[in-house]
Amino acid sequence: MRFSKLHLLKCGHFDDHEMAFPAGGSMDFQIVYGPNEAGKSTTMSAITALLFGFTGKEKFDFRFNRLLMRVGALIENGSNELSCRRRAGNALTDFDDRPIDGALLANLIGGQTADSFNRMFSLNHTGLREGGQAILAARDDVGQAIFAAGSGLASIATLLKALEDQSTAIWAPRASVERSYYVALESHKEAAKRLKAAQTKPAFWDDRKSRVVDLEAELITAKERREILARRRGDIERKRRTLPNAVRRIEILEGLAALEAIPRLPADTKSRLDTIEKELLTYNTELRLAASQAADALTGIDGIEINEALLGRMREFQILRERKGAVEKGEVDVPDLQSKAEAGRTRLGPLLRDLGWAIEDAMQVEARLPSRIVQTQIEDLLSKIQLNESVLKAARDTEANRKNDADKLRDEDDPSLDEVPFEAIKAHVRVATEKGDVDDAVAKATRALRGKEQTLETALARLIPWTGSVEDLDRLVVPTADNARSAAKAIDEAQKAVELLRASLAEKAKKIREEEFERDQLLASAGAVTAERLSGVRSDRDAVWHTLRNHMLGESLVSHPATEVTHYEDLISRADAVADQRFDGASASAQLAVRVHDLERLKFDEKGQEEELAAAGIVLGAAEQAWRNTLAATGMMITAGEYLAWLAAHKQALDAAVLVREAGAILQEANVKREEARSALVSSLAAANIIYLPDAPTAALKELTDDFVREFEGKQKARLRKQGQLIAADAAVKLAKEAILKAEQERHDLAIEFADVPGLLGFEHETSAETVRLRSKLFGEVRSIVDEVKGYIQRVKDIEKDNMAFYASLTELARDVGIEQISGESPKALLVRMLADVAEMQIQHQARVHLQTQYDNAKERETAAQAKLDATNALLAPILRAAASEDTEALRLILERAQLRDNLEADLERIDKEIVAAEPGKTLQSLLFEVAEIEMEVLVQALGEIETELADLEAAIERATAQHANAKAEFEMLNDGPDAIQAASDQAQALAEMEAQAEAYVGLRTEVAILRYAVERYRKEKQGPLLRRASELFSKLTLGGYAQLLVDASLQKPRLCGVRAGTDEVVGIDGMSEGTVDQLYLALRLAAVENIVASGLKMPFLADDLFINYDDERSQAGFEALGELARQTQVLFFTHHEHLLEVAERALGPANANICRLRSRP
Amino acid sequence: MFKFLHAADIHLDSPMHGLPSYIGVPVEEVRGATREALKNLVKLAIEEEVSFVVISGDLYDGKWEDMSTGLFFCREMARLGTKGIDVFLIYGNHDAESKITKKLPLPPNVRDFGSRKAETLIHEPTKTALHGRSYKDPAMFENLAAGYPPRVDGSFNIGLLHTALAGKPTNHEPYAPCTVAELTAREYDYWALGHVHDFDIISREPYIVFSGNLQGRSVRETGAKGGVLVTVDDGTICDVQHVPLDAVRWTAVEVDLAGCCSNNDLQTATRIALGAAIDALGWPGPLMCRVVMTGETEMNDLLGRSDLTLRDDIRALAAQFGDHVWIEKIIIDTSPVPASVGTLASEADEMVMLFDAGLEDPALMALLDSELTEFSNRIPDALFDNSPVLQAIRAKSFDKILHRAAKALATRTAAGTGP
Repeated sequence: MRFSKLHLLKCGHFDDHEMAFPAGGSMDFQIVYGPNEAGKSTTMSAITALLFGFTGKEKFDFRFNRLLMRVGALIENGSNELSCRRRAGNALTDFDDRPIDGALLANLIGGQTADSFNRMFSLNHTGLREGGQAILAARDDVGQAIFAAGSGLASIATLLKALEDQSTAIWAPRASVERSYYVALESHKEAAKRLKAAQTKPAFWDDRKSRVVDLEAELITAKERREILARRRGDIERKRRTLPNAVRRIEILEGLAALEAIPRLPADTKSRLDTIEKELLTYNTELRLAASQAADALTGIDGIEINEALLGRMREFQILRERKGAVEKGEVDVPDLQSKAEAGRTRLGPLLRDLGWAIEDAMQVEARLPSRIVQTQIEDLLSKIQLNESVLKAARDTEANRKNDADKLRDEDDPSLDEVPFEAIKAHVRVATEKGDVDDAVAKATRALRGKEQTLETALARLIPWTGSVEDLDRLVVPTADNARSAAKAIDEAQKAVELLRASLAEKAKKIREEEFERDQLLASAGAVTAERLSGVRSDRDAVWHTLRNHMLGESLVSHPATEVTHYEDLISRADAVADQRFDGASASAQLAVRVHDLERLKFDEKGQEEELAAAGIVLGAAEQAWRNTLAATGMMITAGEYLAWLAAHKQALDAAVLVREAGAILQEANVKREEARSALVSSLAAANIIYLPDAPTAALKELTDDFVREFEGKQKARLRKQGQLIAADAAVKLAKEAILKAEQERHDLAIEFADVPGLLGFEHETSAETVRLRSKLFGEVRSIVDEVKGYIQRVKDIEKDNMAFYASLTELARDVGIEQISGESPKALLVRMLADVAEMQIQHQARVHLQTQYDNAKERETAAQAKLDATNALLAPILRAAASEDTEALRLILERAQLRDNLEADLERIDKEIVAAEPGKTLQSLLFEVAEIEMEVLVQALGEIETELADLEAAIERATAQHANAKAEFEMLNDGPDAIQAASDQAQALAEMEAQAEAYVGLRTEVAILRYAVERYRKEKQGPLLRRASELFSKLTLGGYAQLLVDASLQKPRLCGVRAGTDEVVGIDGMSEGTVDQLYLALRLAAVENIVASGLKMPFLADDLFINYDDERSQAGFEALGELARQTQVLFFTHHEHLLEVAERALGPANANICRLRSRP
Repeated sequence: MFKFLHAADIHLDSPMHGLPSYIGVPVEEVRGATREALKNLVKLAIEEEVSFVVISGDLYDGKWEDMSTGLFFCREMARLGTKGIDVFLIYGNHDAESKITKKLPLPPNVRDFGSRKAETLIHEPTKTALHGRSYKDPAMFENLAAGYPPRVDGSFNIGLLHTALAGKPTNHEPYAPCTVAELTAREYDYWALGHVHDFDIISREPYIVFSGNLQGRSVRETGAKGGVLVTVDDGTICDVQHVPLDAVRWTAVEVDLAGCCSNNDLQTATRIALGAAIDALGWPGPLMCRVVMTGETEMNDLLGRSDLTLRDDIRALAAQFGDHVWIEKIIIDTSPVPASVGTLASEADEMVMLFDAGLEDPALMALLDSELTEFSNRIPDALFDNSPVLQAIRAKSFDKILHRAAKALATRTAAGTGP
């Protein structure tokens, strides 16, 4: 395939830029020249994108939107042409943007991918340099060098090394801590070691357990022996302790025998005797003391004398003493009261003068005063008159004030408000309010309509290639989806049939080329001669012979017979030679015949399939035409598949149109509402005489009316409030007038009532109420002072009467009790003396009572003491009888002897107990018997022997105990801890890790093996022809510096070498300069590409400034080498070096170097 | 009414298999899982106030030779003894092999059945007759059930048997074979079976029950593991309940990568599958997951790349579910998307064709064999037990390995970035 045109529509900075690559001449070499940033790289990337699709990584969208990107080309393939275009989204279309089948392009690409295309058919300076490096890296590996160049995989050595490094990092024969497998292995070993150490084997555990049991048994035996000895030692020690007690016991028994005659008195005899003696002493003392006290009390009583009469009137004395204080106070108060009465009289004087009364006696004054009832009535009347005056004044004030208020309210009233048609205005406002926010509703409906219209517009745009109005859309009759699916299925099946046949034909063509190649090889190399060729040369010969024969026969003469004869002889020789050659190469010729036959058969088949393809094409065409017919009514030309997508868009467009209509209706409705609302508001404003802007928003009009309504309602409320106030003021005036009338009537009545009052108060003529009030007040003060003076006089009289009665009682009582009043003695002094006598008599009386009590008590104690004394003596008598004693002294001697006997008996009991306690279970007698014949020395000796043996035994037990404890501790160390399972668990984990590492290692080594295998196979299959061709190219590129390439197989590891021209010096890659290695890579690479192209995959070869480091001479050689490739396939050479254009023309010939110039970027 | 607890296959102190060590794995829980499970058993028995516990064999791993394991078992059984709970046990094939069994004295509340013949022990408080026979040898192919005593009338009858019941597809040795019919014929009320590591109620009339093992120890033992709590009322079983007792749980999560094209897709699919599995289990303790990638995916080739990056990625992803979820291993069992234009195109690449060309070539197999022979010889046999890849190497069956590696290599070269 080749590019005839390249069309960059919107790509990078290109805008509808077309490049033409004309064919013609012996080679197809296209030079794309442009200065830096003219778009060479973009063009190369665009070619890849066109063939394989956009990857999204291209930087094509810096000028135009990505969605606008288009790359197109006119591609020629033999006699066929394909116009195609790739757009964003990777759809493939024709130049009219109609989708085309991707398989058309895929067939041309021959199954290449973008990767493989770039690797093989695209080479830039970087790739060239990397390729050179790859060959260097492969150094002594011819296979890798060839592979790197031939496959284009420059990183083969790097990849191989990386895989090997990765695998080596896991495992290699030599163990290392750097290798992950060995790290896991070490963990495994370490865990195994820990496991071994941590495990307690059953046999070991059993052994340790037995040892503990044995030592325990040994210890028990020793302890048992110690027990026996201890018992024996205890036995002897007991006997040693019993022996002294036995001796003492005998002594006690002898003592008791001596006291046998002493009578056995009760145990408490001594204590009872002590108590009795003590009580006798006490009772005697009490008896004496009580008698003495009785005598003393009797003497005291006899010495006291008492005045019984005085004592009998004690209560009366008490009353007089209590009254004495009041009498004394009265005597003090009388002068004071008398002076106060006098002062009252003095204050009365001026008042009486005011009244014009010349009276000094208070009683007389009182008689002239009006009665208290009359005065009260007069004061009451005066109060009423005063109150009436106040009421009348208040009523008159109220009447004046409220009348004033009413006048003011009448002035303020605004009757013009009644003229405004307020209810009508409110009704209009209600209408407008009910419509809501009409402006907003209209705006929203408008926006909604715009949105729907845009959606419809977008939906209509999606219907392209169909175009038309909404009405057209409604009228449009479209095929159904089922129709489209049926058509798509038919076309798809037909296309598949065509593709299959095309693929088969391509395969056939390839086989035919192979057969032709083999045939040509047979013809060229092995001397095979086809029958046709033999027949051909013989025909040539026979033709000349016929000419000569006719000449000889004279039928037709030749002009130069000799020349013709020589020519005939040459033809005879050639025919013979061909016949001989055919005979010599009979075998090859036979093969050739077979090849030719096969070739013919293949061609026959090819022709047949071409006919089938034509038929399939017709079917496809018919299916496509049928679809076009179906679609004709729509005026579109799209595939059935696209139509299905279009149909979905069609439905969306119809739906969108419905929505637009609905939105339009909503908007219309909103507009009507708005007009209604505005009309109502305008009416309101006109009625209210409010000026407004006709084109003001509805909301503004509404606000104006709302403000008016609010204000008017405020005014209405204020007016109503004042009207209420006016009514209230009028009512108040009326009430005030009534009150005035009432008060005036009352004043009149009071005046009549008042007419008699002056007379009552002593006025002889008519007098004013005020004068009356003053005189009445004066009467009141006089009456008050008169009452006060009268009170003082009465109290003096009462005091004097009480005091006289007190002194009379005093004198009478003194006489009754026989106390004489001393001459000149005042009654008060008499009273004092009498009270002193009474007090003395009370003291004497109490003393005598106290002594009498003492006497009675003493006599009672005396009697009691005597009774106790008698009783105690009665207790002592039986004790003396029991002891056969006459007195207590003898009794005490007997008691001492009895005590001695008791002590000895207690000692005996104690000793017996000690003896028995030393060996419980044995009787006293048997124990006494045991020690009856024993000597103390014998016991001491036996005890010593036992102590010695016990000491030895203790040491032995101590040793055995330690051994047992150790063994037991050791055994207990073998516990149920998890150490072993922890180690085993770690071991299992390490094993799993080893497994993971091992699997990774196997995978990596397998990849290494495959890669090596591929390299080796490539070398085997390709090395020969590739090296031969590369050798020629290398010689050319090095300007003959190197004559050829060869593989030096004499070394242990074959290596790629160059042979210097002239000297035949063999130079390894490591001996070549970097530039030469680059040329070597280019030679190998071009040879590989030629090989691929020769195999039938004719893809254009893109070369991007490969010669930037070459001088002109080498560049020319490079162009020549590329030119040879251009004889087989298209070469697109990109450069920004203008001088290379001339070099190229020199190398390729002006006719062969087509130059396409890119403009500088604006 | 009384309760008893049926357990089997305790395999005390048997280590977890297949879990590689990586940072953060709860080492202590993993190490001590079987012990913790036994503690849980004892705790349950005490809390439920069971009358007795029956253990149907395999207390220990056969080759395990650490007496501390036995001592731990005895200590836990003694704890039951302090609560008046008796234990009846038979020895299984592992116990018959174990030296621990032979040396260890059991606490007084534990009663074991002899191996010479089947015998009957009576639990007096509940009047339960327990029939059982221990294994004498590790490999017991005799039908032990046939020799079990007849039921004791008037008692509740339990048979303890360590058996690979006929007809039950297991990967266990076919020891003490017998049939359900034979067991039923004994007319016992409950057969407490051991040996099979999955809980299974084989029959309900009478109850024939495998309790399964107490603690899963590898990805082959997934799901909840524990014991069976049986409630008996008036001689009739009224409840049989499997109670999970495990301390660490295993699960295998299949991640279907169909439709996944990128690492992001893979991460998302794995996150969803893991999340669903974790939710379904509802297990808050340590959870060991094996992730098996399946499905036809365009990532098939990429997944073949033999590095440990994927493992690290999935481990990191698991960590997002909390610190109790761990990845045991990732198995790639995906397949390529069936032929498409893309596949055809890549196959057209000469280099890829070269990689594929060798897959049937004995020369490549020989080359690989020589590459791996030394490695294969030097790694321990234990590694081959659980690894199909390594087993294939030993069997010189390179086909699958080569295919996967070839695809991986193609991906590396297409990416152009090397490994």
